[in-house]
Amino acid sequence: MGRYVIGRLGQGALVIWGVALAVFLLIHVVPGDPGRVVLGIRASKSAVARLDHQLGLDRSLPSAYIHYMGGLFHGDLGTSITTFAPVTNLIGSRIVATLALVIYAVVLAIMVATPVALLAALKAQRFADHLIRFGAVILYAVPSFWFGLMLALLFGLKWKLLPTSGYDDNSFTSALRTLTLPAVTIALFTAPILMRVLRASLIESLNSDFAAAARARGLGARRVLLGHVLRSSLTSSVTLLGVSIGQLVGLVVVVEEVFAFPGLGSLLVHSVIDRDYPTVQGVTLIFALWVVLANLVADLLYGVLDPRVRL
Amino acid sequence: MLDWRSPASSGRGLARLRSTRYLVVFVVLAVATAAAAAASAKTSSSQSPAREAAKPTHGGTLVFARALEPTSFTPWIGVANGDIFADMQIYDGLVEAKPGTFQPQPGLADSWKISSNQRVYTFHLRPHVRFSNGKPLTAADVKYSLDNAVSPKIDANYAGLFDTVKKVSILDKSHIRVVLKRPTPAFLYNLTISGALIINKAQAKKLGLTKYGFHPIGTGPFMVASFSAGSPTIKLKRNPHYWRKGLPYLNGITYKYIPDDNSRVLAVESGSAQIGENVPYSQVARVNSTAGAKVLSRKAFANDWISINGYKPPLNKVAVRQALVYATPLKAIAKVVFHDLAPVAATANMPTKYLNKSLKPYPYNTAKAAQLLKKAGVSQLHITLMIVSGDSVAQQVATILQGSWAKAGITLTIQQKDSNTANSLWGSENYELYNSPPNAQTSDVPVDDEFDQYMVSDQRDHFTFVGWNDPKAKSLVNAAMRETNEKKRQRDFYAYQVELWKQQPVIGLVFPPNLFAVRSNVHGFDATANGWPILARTWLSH
Repeated sequence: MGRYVIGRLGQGALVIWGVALAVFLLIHVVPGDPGRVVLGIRASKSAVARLDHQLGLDRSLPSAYIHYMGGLFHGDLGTSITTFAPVTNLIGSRIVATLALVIYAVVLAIMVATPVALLAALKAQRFADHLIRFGAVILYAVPSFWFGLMLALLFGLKWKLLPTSGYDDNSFTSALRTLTLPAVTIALFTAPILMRVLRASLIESLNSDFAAAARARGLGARRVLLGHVLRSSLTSSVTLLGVSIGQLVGLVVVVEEVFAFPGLGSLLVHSVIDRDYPTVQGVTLIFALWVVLANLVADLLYGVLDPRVRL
Repeated sequence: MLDWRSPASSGRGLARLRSTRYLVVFVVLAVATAAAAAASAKTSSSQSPAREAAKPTHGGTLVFARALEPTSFTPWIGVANGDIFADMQIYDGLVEAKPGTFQPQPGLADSWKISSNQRVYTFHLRPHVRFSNGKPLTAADVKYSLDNAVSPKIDANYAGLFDTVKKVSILDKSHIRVVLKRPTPAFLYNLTISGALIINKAQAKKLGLTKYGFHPIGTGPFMVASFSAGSPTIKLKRNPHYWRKGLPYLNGITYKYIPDDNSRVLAVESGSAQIGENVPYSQVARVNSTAGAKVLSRKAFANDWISINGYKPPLNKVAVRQALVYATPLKAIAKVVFHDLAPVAATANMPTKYLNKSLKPYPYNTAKAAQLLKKAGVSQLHITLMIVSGDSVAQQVATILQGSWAKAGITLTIQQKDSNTANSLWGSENYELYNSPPNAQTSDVPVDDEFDQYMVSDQRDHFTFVGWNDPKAKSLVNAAMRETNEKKRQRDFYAYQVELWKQQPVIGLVFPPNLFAVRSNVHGFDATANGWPILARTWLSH
């Protein structure tokens, strides 16, 4: 297992390096001058050139890359061009909010998907199953930003139950309140996929010999369903969750913008717009790391759920 | 498949195991979580209907939803509107813009004398003014700040407005003298801009201008309570040493950065913010019909125009540019896109002090447009209009133009770019037509000098990037900028605008106002025509 983890981390490091290189190249070739963004459209060309030089933005691409990688090896993600703050500080001030949002969303998605999948599997090919699957398709097809706005209109404006923007971490309750709408938006996109996969696995497991054997041994239906069938069905869902973390990152970016949520997603959007190269690179690295670790955890969990799998 | 419903099943049977039970359990848990979150104390915003209160009351924290985030409180580092609107709450200048008028009014200078040759300004500093840290404002602070304002190395954005300043000197502890190279009638007006705000010299010297931007000290009605780099929220609190006694009424302001237009408006409608800026035109009617909220419209020194790249043939031909304007249904655009909230512009001139109101917009006439194109030797004009992606106003304008210009034989392609790319292409003159977002072209001063000199490409790095180098227009603007006789100055500006109207280097569309969504419990709120909120006299009723 230890060797497996080390091997996977090694592969992950390669992935992260590849992502870092790709983002570095992309952000540097996109038109737009960060010096101009900082100084404004009225600043003279000479002033912009002076600032570009001061910030090292007039370095050649290879030289800039070497400088960037050198900083990375020392744990230095650079300094934001637009806010002049260390990128690590910027990320540090927002990462907890985004993690909290994602964890809350995933928990909600699991809480919704699991019982619905169970119902659909037990009522396979019946009206309830058709209704659930139809509902899942609709939820999946609806654009998340539209859904988020509709939730905000309903819960924020019409019923005045929840705030429509921002994040307040002064207390657990206020954090939960401000996280709920964005988390529900994400969960309602993730839950249908989870539900469909889990439903399919459950149906397969319900039909399997081990389930029949367990019932034949006299185990209670509830114990068989939850202890055996559900457990064995979860492996595919866990894998799916690990894989869909990458998709979640994209969703987080959109949802954080809609709800003005001060997380890594909104930081990334504004850094791209402002051509804040160090911040774009830093945030993307964090997201890449996140995806790598999530997949590793998913694979490890797989081994826990299915003892036949040896890592 | 084993029938889980079979009576042969032992135990309590699946019939009782129906996932409906588990479904109910899990759904209850999920709803309970959401209900627990919702059941806790509501936000602090006031949602009750406002009672008419005649007398301002002290207290309360106002939440202001902003479209742009701040980056620095150093006036020469944070130069975008996101910074400026925040700077104006914590700093003062020697003179201030007075809302509803073109005249500057006393600020930190309570009076001034202008020499007979109009080159020497002697300002008397208001006595007993203190910074928010309790230290007195000194002449040294004023000189330091003005020296920064006039230095192109420090103030890359606005130093050009002060390029006639020869020297700033301290006469005594209450007097500052500014000597100009030549008479500059716009000088006092130029002092109202954010680049001329007065900061605390000792703090700036101690921290350096970059770090100072996060630990600013000013004399304005508020002071920074919390602000960190990249933070979307700024908290300001009342400055206990503010020189206008009894003000501000508010205990504090929380600026919340909400970039999405819909979310920002929702924040005000739901009561989680009391003021929101940049209300989309399409939402004005809806906000006005929402209980407890309304839209406040304030005239802006802004012109929503379409830049024409006069460097690129055939756009360098006057007849071609005139054709574009004749083919533009200005009234229809003002009605459909701007919902009749923005008056039509006859030219690209800003609605500042010397606006020549005798000039009327070109009438919509596609036949005349086609005729002008033919006269210019252009049979079929294919042209690209660049807009910022996500700018729904520009998208609507572009769509209308596509249809109406086609009737004049002009094929228009719409090109969407992100804002930075668009500005970059515009700044490098690598475009044909560009419609920047509304209120992007805003004069910082109430007089015409700033934008007119930009337009004639004489004293700036040709900021408007339209390549209009008309000698007559240039000479009229230069003369107006130097003319101290008010009537002659107006005459020169008017004559310049006639050239602007005839040659149309830019298609002026409308004069967009500044639109704020405001809760009904907010009183005393106002904004200058530059869009700067005035919050010193704002108060909340409960």
